Amino acid sequence: MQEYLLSKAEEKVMIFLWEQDRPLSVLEMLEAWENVGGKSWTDNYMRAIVRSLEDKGALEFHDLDHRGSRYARRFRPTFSKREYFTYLAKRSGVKVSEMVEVEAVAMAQKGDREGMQALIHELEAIIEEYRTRGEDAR
Amino acid sequence: MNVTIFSFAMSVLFSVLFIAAIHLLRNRPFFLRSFGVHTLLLLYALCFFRTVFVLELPFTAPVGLRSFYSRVYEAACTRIPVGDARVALWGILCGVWMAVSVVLLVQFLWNNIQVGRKLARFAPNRNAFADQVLERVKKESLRAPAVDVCICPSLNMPMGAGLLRKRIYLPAGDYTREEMYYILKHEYTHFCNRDLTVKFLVRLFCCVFWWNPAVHLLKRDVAQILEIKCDVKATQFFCKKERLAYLLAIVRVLKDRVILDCEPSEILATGLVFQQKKGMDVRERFELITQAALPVGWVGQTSFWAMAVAVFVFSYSFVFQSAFDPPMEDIYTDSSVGNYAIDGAYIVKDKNGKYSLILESGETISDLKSSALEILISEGFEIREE
Repeated sequence: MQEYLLSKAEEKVMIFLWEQDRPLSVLEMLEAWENVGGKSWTDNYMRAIVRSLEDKGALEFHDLDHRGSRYARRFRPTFSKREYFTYLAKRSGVKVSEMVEVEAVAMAQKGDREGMQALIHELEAIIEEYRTRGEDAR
Repeated sequence: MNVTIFSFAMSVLFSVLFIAAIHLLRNRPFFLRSFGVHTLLLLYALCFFRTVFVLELPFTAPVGLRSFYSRVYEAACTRIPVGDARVALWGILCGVWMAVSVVLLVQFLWNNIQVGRKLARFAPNRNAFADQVLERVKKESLRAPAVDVCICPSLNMPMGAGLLRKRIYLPAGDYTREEMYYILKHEYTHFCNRDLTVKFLVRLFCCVFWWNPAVHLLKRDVAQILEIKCDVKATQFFCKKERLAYLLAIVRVLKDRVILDCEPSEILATGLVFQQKKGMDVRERFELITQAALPVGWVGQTSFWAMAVAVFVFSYSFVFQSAFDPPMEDIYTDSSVGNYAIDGAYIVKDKNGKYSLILESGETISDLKSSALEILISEGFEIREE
């Protein structure tokens, strides 16, 4: 995946397109944007963002929207939401070690692979013992 | 009530003793199963109080210690030249303490802000399925803090973070509805219990008392106690089948950690160090979830708390102080003290400026010391010039 450095507004539009899951023209975007209760953007502002996204290669032409005598280009994202956030994670994503350093709460703590495998076996044995235990007090 | 260097030393001494004692209690599975995690957390609160409130109360009795303690005190009071001034050693040590504390606090808060900023980038990465499950968890909870859930692909285990903007961060794995429910239930319970706030305060406490090794032991213990408390709270209304599913969800998270760590990622580059204690921590949690509690009766609880409060009050009842012998000239014995009838007595100042006490009987006590003269003048004795 090539580098996509998106501004917050661009990211917002991309997330909106991923959620819509269909190619949209700028006009359709504005209509759908209002339908989902988003903050209304002007036609020009939305066009500028879409143009910028197209320049960055984040959007590509899909087909034409025919309305009366006017035609508008429909766009679709060139990468998925998952790909984008995975890229973001690789580029500047936070690491587990950092999360543990600051205050975070996790279901399981850190450990190495061999130690973790042994621990998993032990925990599975505890679960199995619990499963086969007769009483239902716990 | 006052704060002295001795009351401070007592606070350090007792906080170390208390933390070590609580650590020993906390390592007894029987204690946790009988008294529960709340008892431990209250004991930690007492400990915190003892460390922070370094007061000498009206009933505090001084206990003099010679030899080592006195020598340490003397060394602490030694004045060291710093530029033009001479500063006591304890003053310099306090300065170092403050400076390091400030550096650690700034570093800790800065790291929090930085990681918070990085995490905020993933806030829009919502997952409809996770949102749906979180709604179910929220409905079941009595307290309902506003928490969002989002996907952070660089993580390899679910985590909750954020003191103000609370968010649960999930790795990019695919969880079943049941697994997702138990993972979110666990993380959401942390927010309901305000565990992050407690951890944050403990970290601040560690930054301030960085030189006290017991405080770092307390930090680790509190983290584990909060996990146990969260497990207990999350599973309190679960049947056996649900408990099993909850435990399996934790195992699934651990398995994902192993798989995700195999991938060449930045996380692997950080070189995670295995700590045996961590494995024991998870095992301990599993055992506490699967074993029935052994609650003690009110007699046991009352006795325990009476003892704990007695020890706490006892810690304020005395203070060790350095003991020194007074100078020989300040020691008065029977041979150096005499009784005189002072009715009709007066003071005479001679030509040399020396003072004498003339008694009614005509007896003269010449060359009065200034301290004795001050007392006689304050008693209203007449002064006559010779």
